[in-house]
Amino acid sequence: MTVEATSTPRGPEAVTPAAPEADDGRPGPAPESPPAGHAAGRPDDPHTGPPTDPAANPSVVRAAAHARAALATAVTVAVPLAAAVGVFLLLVAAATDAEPVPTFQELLSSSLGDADAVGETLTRAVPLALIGVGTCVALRAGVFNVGGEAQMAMGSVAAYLAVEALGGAPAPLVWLGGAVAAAAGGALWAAGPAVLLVRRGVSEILTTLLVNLATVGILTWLLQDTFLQDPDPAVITAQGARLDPRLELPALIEGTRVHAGVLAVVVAVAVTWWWTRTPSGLRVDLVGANPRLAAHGGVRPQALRIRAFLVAAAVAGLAGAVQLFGVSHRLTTGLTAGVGYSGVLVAVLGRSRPLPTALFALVFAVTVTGAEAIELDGVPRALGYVLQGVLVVGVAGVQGALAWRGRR
Amino acid sequence: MTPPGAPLLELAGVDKAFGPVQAVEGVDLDVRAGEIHALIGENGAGKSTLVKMIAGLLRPDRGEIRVDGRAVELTSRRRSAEAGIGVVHQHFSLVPSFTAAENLMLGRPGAGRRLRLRAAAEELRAWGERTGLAVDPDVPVGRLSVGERQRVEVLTALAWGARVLLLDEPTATLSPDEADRLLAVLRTLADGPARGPAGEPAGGPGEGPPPTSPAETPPLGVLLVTHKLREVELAADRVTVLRAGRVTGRHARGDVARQRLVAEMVGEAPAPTPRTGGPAGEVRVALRDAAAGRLRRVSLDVRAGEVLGVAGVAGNGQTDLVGLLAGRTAPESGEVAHPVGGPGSVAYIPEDRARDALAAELPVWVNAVATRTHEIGSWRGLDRDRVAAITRRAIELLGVRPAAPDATAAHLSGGNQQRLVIGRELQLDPGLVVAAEPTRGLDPASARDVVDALGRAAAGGAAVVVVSSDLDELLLIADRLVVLFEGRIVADLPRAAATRDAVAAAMVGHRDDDGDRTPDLPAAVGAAP
Repeated sequence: MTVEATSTPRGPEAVTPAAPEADDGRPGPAPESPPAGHAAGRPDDPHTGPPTDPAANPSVVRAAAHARAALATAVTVAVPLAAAVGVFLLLVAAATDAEPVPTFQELLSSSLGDADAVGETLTRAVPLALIGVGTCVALRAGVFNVGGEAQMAMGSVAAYLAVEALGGAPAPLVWLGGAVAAAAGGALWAAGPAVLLVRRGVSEILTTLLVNLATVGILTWLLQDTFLQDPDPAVITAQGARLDPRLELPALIEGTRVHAGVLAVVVAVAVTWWWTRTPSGLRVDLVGANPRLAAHGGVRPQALRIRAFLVAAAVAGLAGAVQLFGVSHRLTTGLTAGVGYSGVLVAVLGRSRPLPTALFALVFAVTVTGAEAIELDGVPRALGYVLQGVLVVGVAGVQGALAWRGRR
Repeated sequence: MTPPGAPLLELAGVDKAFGPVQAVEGVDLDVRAGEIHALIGENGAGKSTLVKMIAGLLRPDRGEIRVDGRAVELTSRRRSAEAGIGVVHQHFSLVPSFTAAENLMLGRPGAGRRLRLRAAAEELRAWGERTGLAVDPDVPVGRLSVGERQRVEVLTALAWGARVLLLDEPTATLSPDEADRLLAVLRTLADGPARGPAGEPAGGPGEGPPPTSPAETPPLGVLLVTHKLREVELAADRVTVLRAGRVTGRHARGDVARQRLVAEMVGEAPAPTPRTGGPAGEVRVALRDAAAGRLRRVSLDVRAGEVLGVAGVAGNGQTDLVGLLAGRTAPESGEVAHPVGGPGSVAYIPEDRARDALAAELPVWVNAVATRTHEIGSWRGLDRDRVAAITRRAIELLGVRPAAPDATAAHLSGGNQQRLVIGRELQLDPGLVVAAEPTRGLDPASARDVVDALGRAAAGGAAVVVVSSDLDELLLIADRLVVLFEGRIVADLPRAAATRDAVAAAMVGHRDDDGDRTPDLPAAVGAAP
């Protein structure tokens, strides 16, 4: 049954959202003044407040709504962060010989302390943020694509094939060709699940997960038993040949590993942010929220779903190319390193909004980079993932609590 | 009539506020065994809030709820059920993919560990026979009609051992005859004394609260939440009027005039403007031998400027007819032609607004422009002036309260969500309006606004189709009335010939030419003891 938030719509404040739903980053229309004509005939109309009621002033209501939404957003981020740090400190104290607070300081300084550390963190954040932003598009359409891992891997393979095909072309051209091929490869890898979803209603969560599993095998085979394997006779494991050094993405900050791929993230965030504020973005939101309503408005929900699905997959493929040109410089089975899954998490944490998603990607990158550093002090690296886990559970919990409070 | 017994359920000084809004204030109310107590009020008067507090979905800020004179904390649906309160919600709380028997066992107080589905089905059948509200207990309730789903809720409440039956707008979804039958059933339940499936104790063997034998079961108390004055007059022993969260009137049966009740509810008498139909223009939608779902080979023309009413008992093909007329579904055979305009020029007000026509988690303004996303901007961004203008019109047409475009639609009350949907559809200047149950769940004043708006659309040259289970409303608004029975049009009556009796007869399958009411219709409630 539908839960009504209020039964007596006497003053507009009754509907100011308690949860941060209203803060969806979209431009609202100008505040409306309450129409006088309708209520005029009914002096005792219970729907209208007394004229002196400050709550009847739309701009006050609007400001209050924004303030509450901002507060709710702050709580949604601050509480889980505090919880994650708390759990981390407790675990370090309880389970290791290290001092909790210095260990945490070490984690922060090794991931944010100097240019080198920031560079390392940013490098890790790049594929995460890319996949996260792509996932935002799919999530908005109601498609839960967890196939980022496979789509990214296939993107890197496609990018490498483009490198082979383009031979001695200038580096920017090869990067461009690689990016296009990677996007196509990623999208191609999602085509099966997309068709099954709209034609047969097969859950995309299942199909993309299965594709991920299959891709692990396919990738190993490609890199071990085909021409993609490193021709160096000394190499017997599954790995590709090293790229021509001129094809490596240039460093963005001299002396660090941060490469120009960061720019791809900036572009992706900006484009997606803009797109959410266009009619096209609105249509995708409608398909995700209520496909029947969208269809009534002349939208074909299934077609839109497929498109959103393929866009997410294409961006995941692109992340594969960025990782190939910017970090690994060769095809490996470990190129994706789980970011296909973490990317979905950061998009969920960012509530399908591109900018918060990118910020959560950064937070995740901090935990991973920092966790590697503290491992040197005898603290298991897994504690970094504990940080992420508590963060996810915490955000989900706070959002749930806010939604519950808003209805009660 | 059974003399009213001791109060089974009492509310004493109950307050409930949502933020700064006092939804319910100082409400006293009691329901006694053997009576039907009606609670009436406009949308937003606080009826739903009271219902939710009694159902255990909301907790009062102040005041007490007592059952059998003892204060109870109804902290959950389950607690409420255990206290002997059975609730039939306006939006049903059944799991669509479960059968009636499965729904009966879901959350049943004291059900034990074993899932006795067969026993549950038997129980439902027995209760169905006993009350005359028969349903098939083994079909997923999602496949039942709205009226049948309501029966399942009533039967479930009874089988759970309810002593107070609370019904929230129960007749909103029923045909006039079904509504009368339900009221008759409620009367019987309130009167007692014989309750429970004949020869079998309620609750089933070895489970649940102590099984009650029919002979010694006390009569039920019924709390009927409604805004239909006719039902109050027909069925209620007592009536409590609620307005803006406070009790504005309490009356015993027969000691109050309709005008007074209305004044207590809304402060003015609702008087829908009777329509004066103009000449019908060109055909806006044409069905030729069209079949879909329950609809069988229907031919129908609807013309510009006319209001066509579609009457019929729920589940006789209305849903499919609406789908075809609105262009939402394709016919399985036959033809549907929309000579003028595409889907964009069709205003579509589906029966289930919340499910089909609203994106609850998106802001009000997005809902307002949802059907016009192709005309509010380009890839360069939204045309904010246009969005604001469309939003303002959708909000103002029926006065959505509060008029806050940035709030999510979920934060509007049910009645205001409806106003938003109807406002959005009718401000399109449509060539064709297809409206299913357009006034369901609305208070008299809003219902009048909707009826007037539909009339204005027809006057402005639209072809208007209204499917409604409220026969009085159809008779008021329609220029022409067709009656659906078992998927066919069994009567096509011009305004002059469409009398209440003629339509009611056709609704149970009598053709135009034999207008007698069938003898096996249930006796009207007024004729009950």
